[in-house]
Amino acid sequence: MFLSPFRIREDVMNNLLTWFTSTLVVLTLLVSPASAAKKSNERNIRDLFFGEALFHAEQKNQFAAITRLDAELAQYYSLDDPKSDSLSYHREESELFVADLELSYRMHRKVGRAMQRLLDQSVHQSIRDRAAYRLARVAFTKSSYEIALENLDHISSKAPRELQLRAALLRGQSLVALGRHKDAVSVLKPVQAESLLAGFAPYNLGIAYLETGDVVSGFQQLERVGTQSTDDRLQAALRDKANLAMGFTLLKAKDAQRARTYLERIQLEGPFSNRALLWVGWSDAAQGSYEQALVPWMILRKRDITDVAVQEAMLAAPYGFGQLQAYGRSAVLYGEAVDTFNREIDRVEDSVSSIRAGKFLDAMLSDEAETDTEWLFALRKLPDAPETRYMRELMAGHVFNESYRNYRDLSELGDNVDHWLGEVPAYHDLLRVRRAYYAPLLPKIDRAYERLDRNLIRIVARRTKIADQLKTLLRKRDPMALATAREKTMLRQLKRIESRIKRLGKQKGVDMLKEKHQRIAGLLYWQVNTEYEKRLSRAHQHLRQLDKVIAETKRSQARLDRRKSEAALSYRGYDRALNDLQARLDYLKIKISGLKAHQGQYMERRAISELQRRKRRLQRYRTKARFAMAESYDRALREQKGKVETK
Amino acid sequence: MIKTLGPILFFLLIFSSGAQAQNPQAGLSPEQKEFQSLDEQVQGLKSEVIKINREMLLLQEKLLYPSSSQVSIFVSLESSPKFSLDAIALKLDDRQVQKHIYTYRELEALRKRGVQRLYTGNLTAGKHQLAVMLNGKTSSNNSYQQSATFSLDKMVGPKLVEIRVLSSGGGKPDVSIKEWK
Repeated sequence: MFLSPFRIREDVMNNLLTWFTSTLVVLTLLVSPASAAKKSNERNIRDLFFGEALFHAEQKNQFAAITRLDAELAQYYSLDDPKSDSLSYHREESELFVADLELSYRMHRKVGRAMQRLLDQSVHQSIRDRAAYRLARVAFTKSSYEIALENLDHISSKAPRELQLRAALLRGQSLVALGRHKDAVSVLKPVQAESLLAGFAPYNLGIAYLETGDVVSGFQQLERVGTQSTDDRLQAALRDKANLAMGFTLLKAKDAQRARTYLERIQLEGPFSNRALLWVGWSDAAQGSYEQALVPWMILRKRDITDVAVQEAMLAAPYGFGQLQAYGRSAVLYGEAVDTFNREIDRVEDSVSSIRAGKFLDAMLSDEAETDTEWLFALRKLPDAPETRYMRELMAGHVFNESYRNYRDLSELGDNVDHWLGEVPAYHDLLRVRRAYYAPLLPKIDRAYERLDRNLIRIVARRTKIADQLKTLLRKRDPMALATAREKTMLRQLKRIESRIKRLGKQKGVDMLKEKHQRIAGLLYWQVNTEYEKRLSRAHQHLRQLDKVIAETKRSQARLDRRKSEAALSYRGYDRALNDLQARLDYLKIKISGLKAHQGQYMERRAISELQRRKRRLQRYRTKARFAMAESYDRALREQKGKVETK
Repeated sequence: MIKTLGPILFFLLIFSSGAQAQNPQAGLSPEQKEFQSLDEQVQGLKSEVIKINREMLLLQEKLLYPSSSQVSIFVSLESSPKFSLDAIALKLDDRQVQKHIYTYRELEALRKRGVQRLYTGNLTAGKHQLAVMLNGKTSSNNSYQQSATFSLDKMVGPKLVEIRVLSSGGGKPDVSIKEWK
């Protein structure tokens, strides 16, 4: 298929843009939890659970962070007076933080709704600005560029400078994606020199300029990115991309000499090095310098054969030798290319078999495939196994990348559900042991408690009566009321004795008895009367002591009551909830397992389809190589024959 | 033939290297629709698992650490300390209840104002002793050991304690606690 120059340029530019877009999304997703953390750095943590969520988020454990913070927010909203809770200080930030975490965990649907809620609420403008930006990012990730622009319009002019700059970049990106390149230029031009957007803004602006046909301005911007000095992997990759874009534009404009200058800048070991080497060769070839062209092509053909550029170099190198009329060498290299393509076609078939045997999905869950901070770099860590060979190009794509992450997430969700399913029997066991211990004990405790309660009620009633009596004595003096039990007995005895003395009449010795009786009675009354104030004071003192004892007993009673309730609550009322949770966990396990299988099959189908595409391409190259080999042999033979005839 | 192959091969080779361009405005292919459907289902499942995880955590807390006796001990670190923290150990009433060795990521998370829940357990109401032992390195790379003991007054209801590890004038960090209400 021959592509027209314009169509070609559009495609390649779109490819470059697609790559950049995916990088930007990864980058922005990565910075989101950190930005929340940064915000919290500006002030103290006033809620421990908010801090705990930060602790998990900073370790990229979004699941744990979301769970904790979500639980806290749910608890916060269930309070009668939420403003008194420590989370109220972080409430709006927490909402935004949860949404950030969900964005990192790629729960775009939920994030969109949460952000929209925040936008609809009367929250602080700074929160609304941040929510609008995040909504725009979600829309951008889903390729809904118009919606992204609408959300960016909600950001106020008072938003912090950093947010405004990020928003400008996202707006420029969205406009480029929509093909509104002139608008993109007007948005990106004012921010192209901002250090925060280093690399990204000038790169996008450069591409937008090129698309409007302003090649000079486009090159000015891309030149800045293409010559930047950096140790950062992403920036270095962006630098290579800028040089690749400029090199390609010049190659298309048939200015191969200048194109070479840009292509030579590309790192020899970077993700674009193979393509750059191939194009450097073509720029030399376009100038008729086939000897020079062979240098990068010969280097390239020794590289990883699964790369399309390397496969193309397998054809380009013998083509170069052919142009130098070294037909014999050309035929040999075409022969090697045929052998290589044959071998690779067999390997592709092995890969398909390996995938059909389920090994691809196992490899996807291996530790080596653990997601790196940047996906493109993580791909390079994949082991060269049949199940992962030829997969890099496919896996670098957004759809497959997301599918892979979903597959890993489903695996982790399954582990989480399994963990809880393992805990549930232990909880049932715990409840059984508690029930066995407390159930027979609690009725006895209840009875003892009721006895204690009845006694206490009686004591309190008596105490109230005594207190009333003492109050009366304060108003009206009544010494006999405070006579001791012994004194009262003695008085009763003295009264009885007095009656008996009276009954004796006028006998001998009666007077003496009367006198004795009066003396003893007088002594007793004297004692009761003189000690009255002291006794009254002591009675009040005893009442206060009694009050203390009653209060302590009531506290003990409350403690006992609480413990009694706790003991009952420690095993009652859980069974239904636990059974319900277990049923939901069982259901989720089945659902996860089904969806994981579906997701896995989808990835396998995509992988096999990709492999078949690669196989067809290899077959096409093999056919080309075979024809070219035959022609080279033919020419070599003719040349040899010509030489023999000349001799 | 090889001469005619040249320019075609030139363009073909150059331009076939890239992936196919994606037009966001174009209709979705059946594969993309399937991807979107799967993605939506995964997102839904994530919400469900997060919800049940939250419920299980609350149930676990209620079952194992009733609010009347619950005590949770958290650790926070100064954002730019002049020391590193290798390990921490906790003793409650002379009984070791927790020991933790820090990873680089945990330490970084603590430095970015993350708060780590180090221990959750049960304590009776009343007075208790909390002992904190730290191990680490000073800014001059010397090993240090630091310990501190605090008195805790546990009332009825959950008790939240934050152990704050802060830089001091000397090489060792200072340890203090905050009892949260």
